Amino acid sequence: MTRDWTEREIAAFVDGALDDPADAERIARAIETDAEARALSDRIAASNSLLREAFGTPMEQEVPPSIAAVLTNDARRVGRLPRRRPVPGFAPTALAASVALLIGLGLGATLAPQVLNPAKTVIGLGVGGPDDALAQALETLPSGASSPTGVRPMLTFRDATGRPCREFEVVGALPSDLEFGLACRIGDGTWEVPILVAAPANPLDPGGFEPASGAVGDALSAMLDALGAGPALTPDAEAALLASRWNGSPSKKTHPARREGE
Amino acid sequence: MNETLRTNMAALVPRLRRFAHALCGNPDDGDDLVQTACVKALDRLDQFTPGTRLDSWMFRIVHTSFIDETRRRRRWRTTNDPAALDRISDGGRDLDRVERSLHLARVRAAMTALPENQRAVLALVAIDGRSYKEAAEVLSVPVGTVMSRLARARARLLPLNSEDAA
Repeated sequence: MTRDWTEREIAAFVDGALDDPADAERIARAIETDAEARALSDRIAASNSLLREAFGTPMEQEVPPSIAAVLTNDARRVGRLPRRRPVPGFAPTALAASVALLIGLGLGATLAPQVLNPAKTVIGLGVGGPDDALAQALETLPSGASSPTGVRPMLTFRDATGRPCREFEVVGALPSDLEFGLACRIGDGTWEVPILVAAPANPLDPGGFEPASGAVGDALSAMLDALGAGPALTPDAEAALLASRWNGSPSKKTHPARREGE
Repeated sequence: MNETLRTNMAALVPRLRRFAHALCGNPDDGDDLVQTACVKALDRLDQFTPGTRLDSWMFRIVHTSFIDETRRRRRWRTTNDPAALDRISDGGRDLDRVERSLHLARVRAAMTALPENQRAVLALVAIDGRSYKEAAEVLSVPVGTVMSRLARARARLLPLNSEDAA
């Protein structure tokens, strides 16, 4: 089967960013006739609309007085925004500790494995062999699939030394118990986890969510840089690796997205 | 002239707040950022070229302020704000809505877990609906960089809603 479209073109079409009308027509036809193209286009459109909904609140709100004051008056009447002070005593130790560790990780740029929130961690840092639930999931599951233990690989890439590595998340009993991690395959069925970070949940309402700062992303990003992470493998390349039980030689075939140097 | 600009700026505030919230990961830091950006914009009104897009100019100021602030503070602190829950919770009246809101909270968490530069392109393209070229101008990067950051961000986000569809 020949394919006259790329993932990037589908994305650009959905994003309304495919400028050439001939390209747009070709991609529109692909989406109409090719189930794979249609599925991808549906997923990107659904993701866009979810993101718009997730961050949509300001669009329905009045402009906050603190910002309106800047625009309607001269700046000297405004001063800094009055920041909401933390309620005294509202400093759950576990959360405070995990935030402190996250910040420590970011600043220190230490590369040693770190346990950021041991209380919630269902899997450990370090090395997991074939009997380990995390290692099993990483060894066998395609990205996007979840194991019964809540492990979900998110994507696969190779590090600077050519080892296959995966980004994954672990969902706990509650949807808000979320951890993000990276693992690299160091031997048959054996995966090393150099970093695992928890998305801080709000202890007052375990079902609720306290959006984390960028610390989680920064920490993962720093580790990706330290590993020399290459671009994400395509689903096909990943499937081939899984089918060969990770014995494939380091592949040159990569996701069209190239990870640019920062 | 300045009055018109101020009025037009005020009309942009909801979009600027949405962008800033997506960048910072929480509404309070986002509002701080928008306020800072508005002060800067008014200070530099003479640098705005009439006839060019005010929204792109303002988004760029929000983004550069975010980068400055991130460098200065090293990172945005996690806010520990009980009131933030009110903005997320449905009050528990409607199970579907609660599940929906948990799912949206997961989407926000996943967004927060992305590197900052990927968050910025998603916020501009997926949330604000800007073209790749406009996003590239706001972020002062080539269009190809916008596309690669988008692809990388989506490689992480798409598994999240494919499960939702299953």
